Amino acid sequence: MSIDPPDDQEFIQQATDDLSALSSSSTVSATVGHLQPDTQTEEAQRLFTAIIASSEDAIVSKTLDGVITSWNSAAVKLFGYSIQEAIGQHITFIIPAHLRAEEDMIIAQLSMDIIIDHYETVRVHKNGRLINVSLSISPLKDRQGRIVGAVKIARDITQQKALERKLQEQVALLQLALDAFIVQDDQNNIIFWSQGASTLYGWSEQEAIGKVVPVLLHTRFPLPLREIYAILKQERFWQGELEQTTRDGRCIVVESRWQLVEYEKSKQSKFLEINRDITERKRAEAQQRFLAEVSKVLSSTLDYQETLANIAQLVVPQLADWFSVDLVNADGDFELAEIKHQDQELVKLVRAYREKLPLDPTEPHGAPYVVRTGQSELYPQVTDEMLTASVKTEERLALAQQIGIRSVMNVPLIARGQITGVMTFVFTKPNKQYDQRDLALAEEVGRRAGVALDNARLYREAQEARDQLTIIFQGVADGIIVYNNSGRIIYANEAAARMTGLVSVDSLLAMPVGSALTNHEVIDEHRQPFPHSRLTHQRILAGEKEAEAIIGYTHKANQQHERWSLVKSRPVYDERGDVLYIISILHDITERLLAEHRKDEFIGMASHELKTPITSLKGFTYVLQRRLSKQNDAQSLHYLSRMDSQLDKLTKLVSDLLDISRMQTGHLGLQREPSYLDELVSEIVENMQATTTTHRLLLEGKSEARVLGDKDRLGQVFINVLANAIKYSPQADRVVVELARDEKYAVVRVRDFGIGIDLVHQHKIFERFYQVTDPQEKTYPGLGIGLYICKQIIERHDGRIEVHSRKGEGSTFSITLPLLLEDIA
Amino acid sequence: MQNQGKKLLVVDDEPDILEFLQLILEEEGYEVSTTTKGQYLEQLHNGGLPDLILLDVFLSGKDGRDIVRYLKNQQETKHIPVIMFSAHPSAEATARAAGADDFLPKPFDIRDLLARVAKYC
Repeated sequence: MSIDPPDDQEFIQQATDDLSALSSSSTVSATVGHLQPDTQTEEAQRLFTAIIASSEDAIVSKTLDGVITSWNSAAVKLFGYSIQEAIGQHITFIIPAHLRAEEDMIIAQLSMDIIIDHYETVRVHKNGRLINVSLSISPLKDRQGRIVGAVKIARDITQQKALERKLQEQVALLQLALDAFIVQDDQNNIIFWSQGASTLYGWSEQEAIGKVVPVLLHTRFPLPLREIYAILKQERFWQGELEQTTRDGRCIVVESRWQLVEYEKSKQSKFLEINRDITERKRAEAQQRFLAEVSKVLSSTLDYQETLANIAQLVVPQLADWFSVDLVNADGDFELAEIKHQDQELVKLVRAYREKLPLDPTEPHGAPYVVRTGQSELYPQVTDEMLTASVKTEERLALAQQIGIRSVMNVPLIARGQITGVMTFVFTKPNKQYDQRDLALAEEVGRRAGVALDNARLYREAQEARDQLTIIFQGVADGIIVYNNSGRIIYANEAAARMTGLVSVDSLLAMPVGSALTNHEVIDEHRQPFPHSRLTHQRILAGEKEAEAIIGYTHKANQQHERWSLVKSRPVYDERGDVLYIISILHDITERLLAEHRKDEFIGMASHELKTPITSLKGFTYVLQRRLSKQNDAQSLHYLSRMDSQLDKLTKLVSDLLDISRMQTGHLGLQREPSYLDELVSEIVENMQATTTTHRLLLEGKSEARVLGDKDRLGQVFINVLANAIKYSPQADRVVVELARDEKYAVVRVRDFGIGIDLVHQHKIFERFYQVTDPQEKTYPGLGIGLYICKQIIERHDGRIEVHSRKGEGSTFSITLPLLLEDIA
Repeated sequence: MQNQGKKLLVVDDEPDILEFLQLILEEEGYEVSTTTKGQYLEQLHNGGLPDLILLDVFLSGKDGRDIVRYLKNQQETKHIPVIMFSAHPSAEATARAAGADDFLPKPFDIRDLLARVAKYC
């Protein structure tokens, strides 16, 4: 509303009042109207004439008959008739036809000496237009006091009328508004009270008018009232949020805008106040804020107890005076997990009671009902009767009364579709009640808290499970290292740290990706630096399904602390089949290797000790042979050569035993070099033929292949197989050695025509110490180590040895070796 | 004989082995001296340098590989070929690494031994 119209209104009012005062003075009227100034001074007459002439109101006098006797310039302006045209006319010439009767009434009133004041009516302008006028009519008396005529003062109120209409419209508009429009005078008394105000506060206009606003509405101001007035004085405007109480006791929040209006002339002031109800908005905002806080505290911790305490801390006192959380365990029993209330003694009492008497899951109301049905409960107003009816034990009733339960909500805690507990909100103060919207808010808190508590529980369980696993893994003697698919260690136990030569798990975890995982040197069995790409977890990353290696971790400065591990790595796949983790198990074989090393040394020494006397025997045998051949003692030479060949057998046995031992410990050294297979085989065949009289050794075919191998070791294999072929074909006179190749492999086949090998033995003959024992067959003595050694040697050359045989039909041993890599392409 | 005048020095801590090697090698015409003391080799001087040394790897109280390393480091003796032998299975690689020109595993194949000796004389 603008400040100007009231001022105008005031002005008009004032002006009218002045004129009214003037016109109602009978002395002046008489003097002015009566044009017989014999008793008046000239000066006075001039003054009045001047006043009348300069009046903005039309002043007209007439006789009782209605004949116009005077007509001032304002009248000329108002009605359009000049003085000449008007004087002598009957007054009715400016009265609309339908109002002619009015004049009779005026005359009648005048006759009774009644002054007509501010009579609003309509007159006609010379041009026929109707004019709204306000008339003041006074009787005109002669010296004897007889009424002889009348003075009419007419004012054009056409504009004023329009203004009034406008004001009426605006007031009607104000009444339509939902906002409360209130006008107070300077005593803070209500002088205007819109329909919106009635609707908002429940007080009718009649009830409100004359009352003081802050008293009527119990207004709580955001700052002291006198400060607000100070602002109003200075700024003429103030706005702020107020808390008020309606007629029915509801607390509402309004956004209030105040305008101070001061009328300078009258020195009066008024307060215009518009109040808009923002209670719902404030509540929605408060709820949003509350939920935001809830989310914040819920996400701040994964600790179960802390989560509960945080929720309680928020709920009381914002959403409840009393707050408790009951959780349902796997057996369906209730556990009072949290209570928040200002009275700690009372909390203790309730806890003690619940310890003694847990909630009965079959109770018809309360937490058990919520858990059973998943439905929330809302009791806006709890009466003593309700308590008495629903609470079974005296003690519980007493506790409920002590808490002072006035309004209650029970809402479920929900996580993953399961009801995990119930939250109970209680108001104990009389002016607070829960409604549907509070319930909706509480349910939302229940959902969020349910999820948070579930997360906290899962985290705790995961943590506990992890702790258990950690204890187990830490207790395992083997080292365990888990890598992620980028090769980073994500778990390692103490044993792993110890084996890799590190002080602690932490220092192992701190190792950068791609490092050898230790500050020690990583070496292979031959004490060569272990290639990073051949580390077992790297091989899994490269696609192998399982990788195994013996890895040594040796300290550069101090080999005493050297550790050896048998490391096995396996992948763990995700659901898409990609490698998710790699698990490496490190089995400490340091002691085993040390023992093997000692054993190896012992075997080596034993071999040395055994071979030394053989060396002397062989040497003297040779010396003797030379002597005897000079003496032509053929008989003795023969015996001597038998002794010599037995010495060779003894030598071979010692060597074989040594080989077995070394194969077991993996220490069979190979001197690999590219060799022509055909040459190697034919040389062996030649040498064997030289000492074989019973069989012809037939060499067939050519492989023309080169292989990468230890000539002595491969020769040892061929000698073994050929010796077997001869040994097990006593009835035959030949052994066929066949050479062949394909694109990748060369093959040597040794075929005999002897007793053959029963199918049941065929797979086992390559096992260590395996002896074919057949009661129906004649026994062939031996240690059962020759083919085992052959198989070991061939496999160390990445080849294979196989047998094809049928009993009684001879055997074929096939030795397959890969071609030299550079010959394949 | 072609081997006449070639001086061989044989070192082994087993007197039997020294004895038959001396018999066999002298029969082949070599001039053979033997010793069980490895230390002797470190006192060789210009006047009595052999043409070939046969040296056992494991001597009592002395490692043959240390001796060959010493010999191969001395200006006067570095040119003398050294054949080492041992009954120990893993001695060959270390013997060669220490500087031995050749290696023979014990027990010897005498013909092989003679062929190797002939090769280096």
